[in-house]
Amino acid sequence: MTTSLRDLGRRLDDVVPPEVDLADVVRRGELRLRRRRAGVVVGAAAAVVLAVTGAAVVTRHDDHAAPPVVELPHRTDPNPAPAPAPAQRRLVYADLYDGRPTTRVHVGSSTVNMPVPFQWLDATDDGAVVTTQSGRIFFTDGGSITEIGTLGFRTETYRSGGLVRAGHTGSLVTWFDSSDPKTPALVIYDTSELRVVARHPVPRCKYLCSTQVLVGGRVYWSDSWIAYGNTDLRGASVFDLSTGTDSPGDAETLAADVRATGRGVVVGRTADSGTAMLSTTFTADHGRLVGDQGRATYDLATGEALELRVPDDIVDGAGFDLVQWLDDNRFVLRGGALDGYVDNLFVCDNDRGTCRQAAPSVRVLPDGYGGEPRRLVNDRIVNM
Amino acid sequence: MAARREQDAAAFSEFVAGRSGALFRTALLVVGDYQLAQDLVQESLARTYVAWPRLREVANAEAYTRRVIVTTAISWRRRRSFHERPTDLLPDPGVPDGTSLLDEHDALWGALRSLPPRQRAAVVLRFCEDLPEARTAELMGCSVGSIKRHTSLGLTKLRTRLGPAVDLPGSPPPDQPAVIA
Repeated sequence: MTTSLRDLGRRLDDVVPPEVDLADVVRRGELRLRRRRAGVVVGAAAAVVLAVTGAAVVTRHDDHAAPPVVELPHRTDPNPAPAPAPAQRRLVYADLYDGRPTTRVHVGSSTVNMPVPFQWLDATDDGAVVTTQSGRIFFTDGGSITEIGTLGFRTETYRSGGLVRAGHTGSLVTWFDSSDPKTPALVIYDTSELRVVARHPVPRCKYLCSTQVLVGGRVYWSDSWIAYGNTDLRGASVFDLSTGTDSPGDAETLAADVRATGRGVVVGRTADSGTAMLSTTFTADHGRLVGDQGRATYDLATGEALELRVPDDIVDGAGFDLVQWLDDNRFVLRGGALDGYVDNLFVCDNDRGTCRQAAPSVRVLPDGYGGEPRRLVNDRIVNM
Repeated sequence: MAARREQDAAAFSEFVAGRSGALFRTALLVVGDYQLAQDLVQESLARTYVAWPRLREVANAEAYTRRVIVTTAISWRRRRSFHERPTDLLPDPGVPDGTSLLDEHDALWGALRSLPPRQRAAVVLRFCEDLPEARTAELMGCSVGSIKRHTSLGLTKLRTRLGPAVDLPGSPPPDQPAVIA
């Protein structure tokens, strides 16, 4: 049998296409339009509030000044570009100065001023999710702003974050909502649909449970508050969105779940036998990145060894954390200084084999110096 | 205003009627499943409906929809555990879908379905749809370099899986051994 890809394409010409349900298409489209308009209204209201606030301090131009009014692309652009491809993310980050919560979040090339200062941040395919000290959770797509939920408690004492977790791909984000102490619940929200897709009551989780990892519609969670900010899968449960049930989870099931998503890294002897991970660490060595503890690191999507160059001014021994995935080929590294006190963001492109600085450097003072500046990328660094 | 909306609605309906078959073919190639391709076309057309006022021309709308189909297909494949719900009972198959025209045991079709989403999309767009690299890159929202890489990796996997019986781009003639550099 000799065949070819072109023949296969021709054979598909004989396949009878199904009837398109035009009414369903229009219904879905109108639903999207209504959600978009609702988001613009919330965003516009936030911009008006910020404009009034900003007028009082308009002469100040440092980073503590009230932020400028944000233009809402959905409202002001007469001929906007097509929406970004769903599989690609924009770089999301924020800078906190003097350790104080900020209102300003960067989503790709957009800068958005949130209506309330926030101190935690994460990213989905659609934009940024931020959490305030009072436990309110907001989402922005880079233009409009939507309040999507609450933790139900204040967050000042949670220094290391990890209260709200987004997946490294897709549009889901999860947290524990303890606003009703009698029925605390694990919430899963879809930032593409702008709606809660699951609410899973866990009565024993009053203030104490934490989400660990969200991967491929499965939430790893633990009933220990100690796990906030770190990944601790001891005694973890996994809530599966597709079945609505909990089951035990551990590092092995997590690695399998990561592998199923097709996006991540593999650390180990080979791409097939190593451990699939969402994140890992690297060290600079003669202008190249070396994997964690010298171990080989592979791209999960292709199975090829990662070979990446860093800018010439990065000194040998500088460390990096993989903190965000933008698509199957590109990810974001944070770090790049020997002492760890200069925070740089680099976007690495596997195809090009290079990592380039993607945001201005921020000087980060170590704990104990007080009032340190801090950069937020996201809270999802998985240590396995 | 109302007249404009009516005109838009009529033009959109005409676009759907005229181009949905070709769009379905692309969807079927990139996802490899009849039902999933049907859902993908519905979803992508809904996004086109939202963007319709600024697309204006049918050519723009078709290009936009095709890009949404490709990028959404890649995204869906990655999130399939969320969308696919396991069940103990298989649904009534009803009437056979159109893919029965493809031999279920067709090795090439099976091998294509096993490729990672981006490699699969790159291979089918380049060689089943006969699109140039630049156009494929545009549809997938990535660089031409990425397309070359995904295509090369995808074809290598297909060759490994299918052997010399299947004629793939860049394969040596069957009677000549492959040259290993």
